[in-house]
Amino acid sequence: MACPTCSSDNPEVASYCHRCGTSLRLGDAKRSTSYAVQSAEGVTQFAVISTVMPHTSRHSADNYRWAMIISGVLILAATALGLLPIAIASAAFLVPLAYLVYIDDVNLWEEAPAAVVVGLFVATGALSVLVSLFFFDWVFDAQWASFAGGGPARGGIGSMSFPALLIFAVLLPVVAEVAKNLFAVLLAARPQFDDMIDGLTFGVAAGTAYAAFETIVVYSSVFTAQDFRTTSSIASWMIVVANVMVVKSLIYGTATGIAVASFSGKGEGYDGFTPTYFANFGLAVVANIAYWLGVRLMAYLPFGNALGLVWGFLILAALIVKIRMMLQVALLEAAVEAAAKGDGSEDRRSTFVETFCPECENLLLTNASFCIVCGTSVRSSSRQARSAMGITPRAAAAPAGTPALPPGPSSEGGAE
Amino acid sequence: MSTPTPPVKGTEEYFNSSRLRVIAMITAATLAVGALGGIAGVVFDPDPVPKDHVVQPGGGAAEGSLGSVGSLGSLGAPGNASPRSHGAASPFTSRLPGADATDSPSPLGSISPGDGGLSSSPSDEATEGTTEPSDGGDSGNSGGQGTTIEATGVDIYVPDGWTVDFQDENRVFQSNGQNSFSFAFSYVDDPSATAGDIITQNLSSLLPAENYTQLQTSDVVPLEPFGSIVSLAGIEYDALWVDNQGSIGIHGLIYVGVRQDGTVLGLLVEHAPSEEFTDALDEMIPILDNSYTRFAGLG
Repeated sequence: MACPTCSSDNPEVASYCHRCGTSLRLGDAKRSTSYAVQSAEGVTQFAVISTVMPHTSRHSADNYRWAMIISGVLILAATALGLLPIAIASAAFLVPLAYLVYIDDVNLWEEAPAAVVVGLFVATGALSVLVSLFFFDWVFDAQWASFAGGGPARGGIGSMSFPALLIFAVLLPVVAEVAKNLFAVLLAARPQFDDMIDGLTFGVAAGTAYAAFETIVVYSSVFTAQDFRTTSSIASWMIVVANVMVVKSLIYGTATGIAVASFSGKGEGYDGFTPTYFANFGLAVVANIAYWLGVRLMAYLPFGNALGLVWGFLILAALIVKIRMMLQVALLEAAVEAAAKGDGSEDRRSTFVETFCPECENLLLTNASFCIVCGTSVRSSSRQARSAMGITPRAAAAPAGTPALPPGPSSEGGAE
Repeated sequence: MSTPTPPVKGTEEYFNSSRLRVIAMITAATLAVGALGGIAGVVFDPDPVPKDHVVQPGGGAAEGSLGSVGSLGSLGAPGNASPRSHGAASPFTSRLPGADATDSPSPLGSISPGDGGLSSSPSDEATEGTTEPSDGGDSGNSGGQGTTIEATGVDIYVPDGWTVDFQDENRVFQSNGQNSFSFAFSYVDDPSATAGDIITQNLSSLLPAENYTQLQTSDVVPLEPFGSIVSLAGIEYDALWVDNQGSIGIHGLIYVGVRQDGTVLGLLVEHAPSEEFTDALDEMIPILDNSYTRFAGLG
């Protein structure tokens, strides 16, 4: 049957076009219920793991869910026992560590593990420490004490320092976002990492690494407190640890992920510093400002810490949905555009041999960009999977000075 | 032309790690980082800030001089302020505007948030019995003068370099922009209420557990009343302030004085971080000393 969008020929049993991912089922032409990265989920579903770890499959995403749940429970148990230095340190680094394992698991770093690890985690972490020390300790320490110490115990919202609010809820998020983007963008500009999903991944990694090191700086007093173990105010600490462990880390990560993904762009090569990138950079800054400002204002209310946690969750949910819609549009539009152009550009991101869909384990056709059964995009597969599909990484396939093209099948090959 | 990789046998080959390996690596790495945090918590263990800073305010009142640090005895080892059976819980010492005072009603019955005893104008008895505040009691938010708590007419000293951040009928907050803060509150209680009881009854409101974690307090120290003050006490505390945006060690003092007319003046001074408290105390002592000297009618 011919796809109504790109006119590619598909088997009669196909539910999705293998070239452009268009749903061939009646009543679902826009694929609003089937996320192209993991087709078992809806596009607007609040699913954290499959959003920030798009190269996982339905089954491998469960590995990370369980790992995060087990680690999270251990961290909260440490908090409940009052072991704050242990709880804060492990909570700050849980997501970045999980992300490091993920990048290794899907072989995202290709032949450049050092560049990825050093660039994203070490260099961004070092920048985070510098920026945080500059703001919280070296220059604006008095304003920080006024800002963070603000609340009902210090006169309520009437005593809020406006300059401190501008410094920490506006200026800092802008500077921090630049620091988070810096190394992620440098990596996303490399030819082997030009996919939007790569950009997203690097952005999330950089953002979570930044959050982890910033957390260590702003909660450093936990490590220098006179009591190693505390038995009071455990409820407050549980909220704080949950915020640090999940909400803050993922807000920083997803916001930066959106910006860097738009740097990569939806098609081949990276788009660079386009107006779209700056718009999404602005969105990331706004999300961080909203988070910092909202949490601060909530702190002036009764149960302010708990309200701040809820506020953070709302922002995180919005960012997660934004990423999913962004990837959905990018994957589908890029495929349609490539099919419409007929220049063979999408062939470089399509299967070269018959293999298995990582999501549903049905057979993937040759020259396919999507599984005809579940509709999952092959671009969201792990590097190993794409290698098995015959999608050769550009940099690896291309000797210096030669076009980085895999030996693609003829573009008119269609489904077999 | 390069040779395509042969198809795999199953999708598990699309990932480098098995489920067990992923879970084990993430959990082990998290525990390892937690252990590093634990080591840091042990290694960076500072010397405790001594809780011996409660001083006798108004010690040099006759000359108008400031009290000296340590002029009263040390408070000894940290402990918990033990609640006593008698004392009034002030609704505004919770620092929360509109806080409910009925949690700990005064057994003396002289304070009732419902009858305007706290939030409306002070009673005649209170004003008649009040020694007039000394000069320097003009309201204002610049340093070196003072500001008046409307409900009781009590004058709070504002040193040079300090700014009144917030003020309402019963409370005054001021800071010096160098991590030192002061909170003053005043209301009318039964004249027989003791300062120590007021401190213990209101400690959880003054230092809310949501933010003041790892709270350690000295025992309540009874101080020598002077002038028109009939009961005076102080307490010292150390805590780890926390909210969703950070934490910081904090150290402070709380004083409460009760005048013969039942007017209560509470003063809290604190500094962050804790280890700089002793150095910062010189900045805060004038607030305590001058305010209580004026409160006693000697300033």
